[in-house]
Amino acid sequence: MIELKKVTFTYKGAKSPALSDITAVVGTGLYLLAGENGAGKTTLLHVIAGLIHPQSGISCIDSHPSSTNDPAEMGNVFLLEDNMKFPGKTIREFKKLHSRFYPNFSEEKFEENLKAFGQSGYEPMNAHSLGNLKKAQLSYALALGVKTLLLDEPTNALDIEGRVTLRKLIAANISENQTIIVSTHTVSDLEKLFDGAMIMQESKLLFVGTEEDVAEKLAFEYSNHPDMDSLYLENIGGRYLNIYPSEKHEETRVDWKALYMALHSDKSHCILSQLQK
Amino acid sequence: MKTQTSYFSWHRVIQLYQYNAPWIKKQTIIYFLFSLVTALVYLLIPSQTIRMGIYSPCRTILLFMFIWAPVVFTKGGDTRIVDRLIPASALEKFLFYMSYLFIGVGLACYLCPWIAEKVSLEFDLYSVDSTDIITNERYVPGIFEWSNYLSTIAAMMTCFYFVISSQHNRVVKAYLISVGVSMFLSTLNTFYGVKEAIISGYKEAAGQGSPANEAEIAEMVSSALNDHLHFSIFALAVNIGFILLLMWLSYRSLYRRNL
Repeated sequence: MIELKKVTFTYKGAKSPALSDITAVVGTGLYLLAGENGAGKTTLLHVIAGLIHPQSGISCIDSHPSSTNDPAEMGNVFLLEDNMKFPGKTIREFKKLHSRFYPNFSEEKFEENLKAFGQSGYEPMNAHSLGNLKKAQLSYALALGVKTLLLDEPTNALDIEGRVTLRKLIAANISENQTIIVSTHTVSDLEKLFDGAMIMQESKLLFVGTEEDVAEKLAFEYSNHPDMDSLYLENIGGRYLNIYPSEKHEETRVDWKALYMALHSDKSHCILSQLQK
Repeated sequence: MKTQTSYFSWHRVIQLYQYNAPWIKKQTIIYFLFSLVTALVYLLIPSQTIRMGIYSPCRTILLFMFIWAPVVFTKGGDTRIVDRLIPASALEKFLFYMSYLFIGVGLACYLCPWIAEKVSLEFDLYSVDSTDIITNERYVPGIFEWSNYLSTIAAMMTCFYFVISSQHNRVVKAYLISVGVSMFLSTLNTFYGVKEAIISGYKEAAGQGSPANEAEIAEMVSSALNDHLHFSIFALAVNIGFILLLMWLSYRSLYRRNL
């Protein structure tokens, strides 16, 4: 479980904070971390991974501070960032050097993941395209067996097949006591898998909660006609997205992209007050 | 689910060696081969002019190889995130880095030339002129030599600190600032300037026909250096303070894991 209490962080020389008073509790499961460019998503992942220390507030994983120097706790977290460099010539060489620090690393899963992505693992990483490098890195990260896995824009540079494969591998590899946070702009790639979401805007956390939390309060409906009584209405390619209080409608599947758009609209206060009921 | 131990682990220190092995192995081999060639130059070239003409620049190169050795930890790219996430304590990481730099790199750079110089002295391979006497360790008070060694170590620690803690341009900063520190600390060791002045004075005297008397020269130099002892003690203290400060800053950087 990840706990954030009033986390505030400002980069040196910056005029405004990158993170403002972030408070959240994230349980096990697959979580979406969404926000506009510059909202603070990557900074938040760095705080959770212990790579950035907030000026105020605290980030904890399973009651241990993220900034811990305890190898037992450090071994439970891994962050795979966009454009991250792995030392070593090939992903297999990196695996040989690095996996010894992670006792739950699964060689079998690593091989399966590589095969699923169509990678041999023998190609030099500096000769890879961005997409193939990302596939190799994801093959490794998903096999680490860490309790908290943070993926920053994992679908960037992936082709359509790669995104489908990633969806299948996450669904197959995520364990009961594991938390995976995926920061992404392309919500649709993994939308049906998310158990919860953290939605940010301008360094603040607008919403954090599970699918159940949202489904209890909101219903999402697409129709050919706009409903002016809905809490939020958007025209998407000729069809209308309506978000209703769930009391007035049957329970529907949570549409995370729609929720994101609603929370970033001028109707966000209506949505938030419904969610907080 | 298995977990690592929370306690200090020598096994993890060894794992850190294994993690960095492809890069430090290459560096150690290159350094050792170059220092071996340097040592062979010293032992095998009979002509003093040619020998010192090659040996001195080789020693200078070895000096900078030692100072810039920490750049190997950049592993050819920005791998800071992966390195900082490695589940090992700050103490384990610090021990790995310090043991490699001081023992591994130190031996690779200086063992062969040291052996060569000892063998040369032991077997009187070359005739020793007055200049050699003055540069010979037996005649230079230890405190002055130690200042020189420590300023090299301080420069190396500076390079290390910037390699592990700089956010931007860490390689450039590591190279340039370490050289700057080396030059700054070396100027504190002004006794070498004094010593060189004395040597050149005596060389001039020798050139004008005055015989070089080993005992007189040694006493003259020793006396001149002792007059500056207080300054050299100050220089020594500054060097030690600098090294300790950089060690503390480096350890703190590893402890905080701050990007």
